[in-house]
Amino acid sequence: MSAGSDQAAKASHCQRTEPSSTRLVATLSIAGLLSGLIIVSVYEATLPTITAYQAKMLREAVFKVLPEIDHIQRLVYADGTLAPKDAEEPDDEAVFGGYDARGGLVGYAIPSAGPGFQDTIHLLYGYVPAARMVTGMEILESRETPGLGDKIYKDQSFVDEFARLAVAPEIRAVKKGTATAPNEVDAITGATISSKAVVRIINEGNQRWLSRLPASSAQPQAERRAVPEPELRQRPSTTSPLSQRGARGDFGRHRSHRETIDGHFLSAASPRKAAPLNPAPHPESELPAGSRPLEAGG
Amino acid sequence: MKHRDPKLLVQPGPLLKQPLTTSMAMRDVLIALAPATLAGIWMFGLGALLVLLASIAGAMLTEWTFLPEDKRRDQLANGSALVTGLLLGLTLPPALPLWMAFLGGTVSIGLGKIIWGGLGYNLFNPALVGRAFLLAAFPVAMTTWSAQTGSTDFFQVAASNLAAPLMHLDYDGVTSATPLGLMKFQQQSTALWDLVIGKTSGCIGETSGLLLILGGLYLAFRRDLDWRIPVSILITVAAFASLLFLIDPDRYPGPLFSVFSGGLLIGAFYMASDPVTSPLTPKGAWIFGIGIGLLVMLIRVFGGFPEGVMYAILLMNAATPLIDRYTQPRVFGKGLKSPQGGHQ
Amino acid sequence: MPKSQPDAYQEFIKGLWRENPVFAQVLGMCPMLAVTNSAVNGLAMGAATFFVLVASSLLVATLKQWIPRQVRISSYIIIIATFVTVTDYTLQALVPAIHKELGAFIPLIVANCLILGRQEAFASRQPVGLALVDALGMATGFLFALLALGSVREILGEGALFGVDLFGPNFEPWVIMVLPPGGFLTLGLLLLFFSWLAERRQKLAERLAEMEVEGS
Repeated sequence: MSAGSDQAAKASHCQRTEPSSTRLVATLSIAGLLSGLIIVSVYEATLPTITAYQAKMLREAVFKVLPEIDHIQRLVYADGTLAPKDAEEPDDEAVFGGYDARGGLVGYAIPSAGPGFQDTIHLLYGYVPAARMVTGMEILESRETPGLGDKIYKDQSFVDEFARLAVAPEIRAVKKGTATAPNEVDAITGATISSKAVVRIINEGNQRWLSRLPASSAQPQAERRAVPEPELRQRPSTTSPLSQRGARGDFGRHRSHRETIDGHFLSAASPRKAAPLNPAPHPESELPAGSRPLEAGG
Repeated sequence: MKHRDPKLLVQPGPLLKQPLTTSMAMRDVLIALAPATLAGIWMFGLGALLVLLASIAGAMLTEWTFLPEDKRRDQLANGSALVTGLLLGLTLPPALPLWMAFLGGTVSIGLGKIIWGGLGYNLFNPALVGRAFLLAAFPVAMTTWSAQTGSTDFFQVAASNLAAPLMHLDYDGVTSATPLGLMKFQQQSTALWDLVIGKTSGCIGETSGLLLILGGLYLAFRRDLDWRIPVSILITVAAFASLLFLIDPDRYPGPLFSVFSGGLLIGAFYMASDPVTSPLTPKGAWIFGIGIGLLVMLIRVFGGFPEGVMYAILLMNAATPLIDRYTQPRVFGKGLKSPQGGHQ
Repeated sequence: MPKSQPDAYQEFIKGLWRENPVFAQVLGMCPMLAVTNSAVNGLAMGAATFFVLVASSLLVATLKQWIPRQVRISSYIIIIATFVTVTDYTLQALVPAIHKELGAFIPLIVANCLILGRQEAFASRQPVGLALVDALGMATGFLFALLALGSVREILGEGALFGVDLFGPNFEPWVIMVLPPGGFLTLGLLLLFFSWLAERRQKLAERLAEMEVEGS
């Protein structure tokens, strides 16, 4: 093994004559430089594919959570307005508007994220303002326990729970088989924490977004103003959306509406799955439309 | 015992020979368990008997497979694998597929005993190791409780019992929640007398409280178990339950319900008191028992599971070496304050 | 000059069996236990490690005379980290679904002691050819172990292999197998199995040797 012994000789030689620190620094610098070059070039080469894939997944998710839409538009919320914007920036607060073939607004796909059982769950859910309903939920990223927590996207019956879900009062996860009200979701047996996390994340998204989203406009691009009160940016969980709506200012009016809504739910014997998606003359749907400062204005 | 080197003989005299061998202790346990076992089979039908046999077969076959050839006969004859298999079987739901019961017996002996070096070296109670494995692997099958069949349908075996290996069949009979499950999820209590005589659903051998206590007393009289362990467990649970009951009688069950429901009696008398996995000293036994009692109540009241006896015992099994270490009796003539300051 | 064929063959085969990084050396346990809940994940992780190990060994063995002893570990780490990052981006672009499953464990290949261990113990002391063969053997051994663990866990935990259903709809999945305890259990049982095989082989060899002695 002459080559090996050669090396050994060289190594011992190196050991005896201490290499200068300049040489050490130079070696590492060159290594670092080369490594950086390689990494950057690979990054540049793969970036388009990666972003294209992510965008494609996101688009597909939007079409899954909103019913019967034809095209979508990314909308960014800034300074109290919702404006279309395609270029992505890290600090954007963005949702996706879904429109039918004639350009009329169907609903919004709202991304939201929060802690799950193991790691942050990123999800997207569809919201139709006209019916005040969540119309679908898609988990974008999660690391829930395989076999249990990952049922939040593998168990189709759980995903289907979100197909028609009233957003007021606040959505609740209840023990499997006991969901009766329009705002209740059957939690997954053995994965209660993950199920509740999904519901909580959606509630947090509602809290942040519902007041900012114009209801039925065909042209959200035409800058209608949706001014949120500062209270709306509160931490979730402390208050429900309903009580927040009460905190909005003109108490009397919303109070009475709230009682209507609760009374309606209590008296309604119909199972929640039968709740109509577009209930025009329903007292239930009057409240959301009417209670919106935006709608009142326009 | 090949080494008869007198230098290694460290026991203090006078030496009393105790006429207790492993096989005798195991025979006592079998006698003590017999009434509760028979009652379980009577109440849950032929299926329960099959589950018991499957789990015993799994345990004994595993023991036979892994023992060296020359030790097989002796070890199998002393009945420790039989007892492990039986204890495991008694803590399984009656409608469990037989292959799962067999697998549980295999895991009990393989992972619970053999891998540690055989009888006497295991840290955890083998039967509970098998049960913990089954519960983690098959959570649904392990928590499907069939209602008691009664004497008329004795020979009706649930279809789920006979599922082919690796498969499951949906349980077709009447299922009913255990008393603890009813309490936890529906705030429903069960009549105390039903609990005492075992007219409830649950694991095969855990229901008939009275028979379990009888067997336990027999073991205590035969000196096969340290009476301090079951007594301290039951007292702790009863005290904890009384405290909660006094605070809010509507939400929490009374002490008698807590003692007689679930697997507490079979756990306290037959599993926690396993001499291999429990502390040796009297003081240690008290600590061990109180620890189990506290854990059981914490899991039942504040945990996600309705029942926590299994985890409580396994956790305290893990703490046993530590308890033994800190409750060592003082060696005669040593350990007191000495002028040299040699104490500790 | 470089030794003859049998030697290179020996260097390759030792990584597969006698010095298998997982079953004999018990190295690289973090990815071993964390991502092997299915055969595909095990295969992908094994392939990623394979690429990083072989490429790093090749480079280290080539560059060894220019790397001063004092900074050798840092240099190895830079080399390994470069390949890991390249792998990370490539997987993300080519097979995003698998990249999502493996997640944080791809960057963690940098810290896999198997890879750094081979550089320090072998690639930095041996000629390029041997280093390459050794890396190939070790990487294949690691891949094989990950695949074995992933297959066992997927078969028992999901009743499938590479996503293909094996047992039909009535299969009862062993939930514990896809959870972390299943990883430990399966690894322990596989270690037991392989050391049992090794012991048997050794006994057989001894008996053969005895017979030869008697025969002669």
